[in-house]
Amino acid sequence: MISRTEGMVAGREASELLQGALQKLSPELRETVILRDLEELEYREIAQVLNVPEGTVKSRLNRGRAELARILRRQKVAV
Amino acid sequence: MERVGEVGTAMNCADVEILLADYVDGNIRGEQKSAFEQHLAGCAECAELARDASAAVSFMERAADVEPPPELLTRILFEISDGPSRAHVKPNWMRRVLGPRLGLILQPRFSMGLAMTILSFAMLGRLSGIEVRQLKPSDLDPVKVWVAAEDRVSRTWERTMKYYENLKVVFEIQSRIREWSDQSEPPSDSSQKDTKKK
Repeated sequence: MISRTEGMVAGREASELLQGALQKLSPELRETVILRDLEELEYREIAQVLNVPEGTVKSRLNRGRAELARILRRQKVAV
Repeated sequence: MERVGEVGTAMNCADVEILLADYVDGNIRGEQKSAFEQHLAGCAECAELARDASAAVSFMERAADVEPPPELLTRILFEISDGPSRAHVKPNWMRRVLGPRLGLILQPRFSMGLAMTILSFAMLGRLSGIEVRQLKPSDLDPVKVWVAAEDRVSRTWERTMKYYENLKVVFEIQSRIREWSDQSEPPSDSSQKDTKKK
C-alpha cells in the first residue's frame, strides 16, 4: 500500500528508496541496520550473528541510521 | 559501577553515544531518559545525531517488503552452519530470519532480493551437487548446503564463475567464501553432520 502524508513516502515507494540508500552504506553498517530495523533482532542476537560486542552493534547502528537519514535527505526524500 | 545517566550525573556526549540506540528504540525511561534529553537540549551535535537516527528508523518503519541483501543471508548461513555463534544462536531466531524466506523460495514470487537469494542457493547448489530444480526444503538446510559446498569450492569455482559472471551476487558470495576459507579449517567432525562426499 502506498500512502502519502505531508509529502512523506511510504510502502513500496519507501522500500525502493530504502533499498537504494542501504546499498550506499558500508557493509558493516548496512548489515547491522538491516538486522535491527528490518529483521528486528535484539542487540544481543546481532552481536552473536556478526560476532562483535554489543557495544559495537549499538555504535554501528547509530552511525548506520544517521548515515541512512543523511543519504535519503541528499536524495531530497523527506525523512 | 556507575550507570550511564544515573540520577544526579549529567551526561556527556560519550554517554549519549552509548545510549542513543536504546533511546531511539525506546529502551530507556525515567531519570535516564530525562538526563539524555537534557543533554540533547544543550548539544546541537548530539541532537542532530539523535534526530537523524530517529528519522531513519521511522522511514524504515514506513517501508515495506525489503529483502536483506544476499551477502547477509550468506553470512547468516555461514554463522549458523559453522560459525562461532553456532552453539548460542537460538532456533527461533533462525526461523525468524530464514524461515519465511525458505518457505517463499519454493513459491513463484520474485522480488529482486528474493531472486538474488535463490541465485545464491543455486550457486551453492552447484557447488554442493544439489540439483536446484529438484530442491526440497530439507536441501536448504544451511548446515547441509555449506558443509557439502566446502568439498567442491576449489574444484568448481572457476567453472561456476564463468557461468554466473555477470551476476553481482557472485562477487558477494566469492568474498564470503574467501573469508570463510581463510578463517576455518575443514571441520574434522563432518561425519557428524551426515554429509557424504561425492
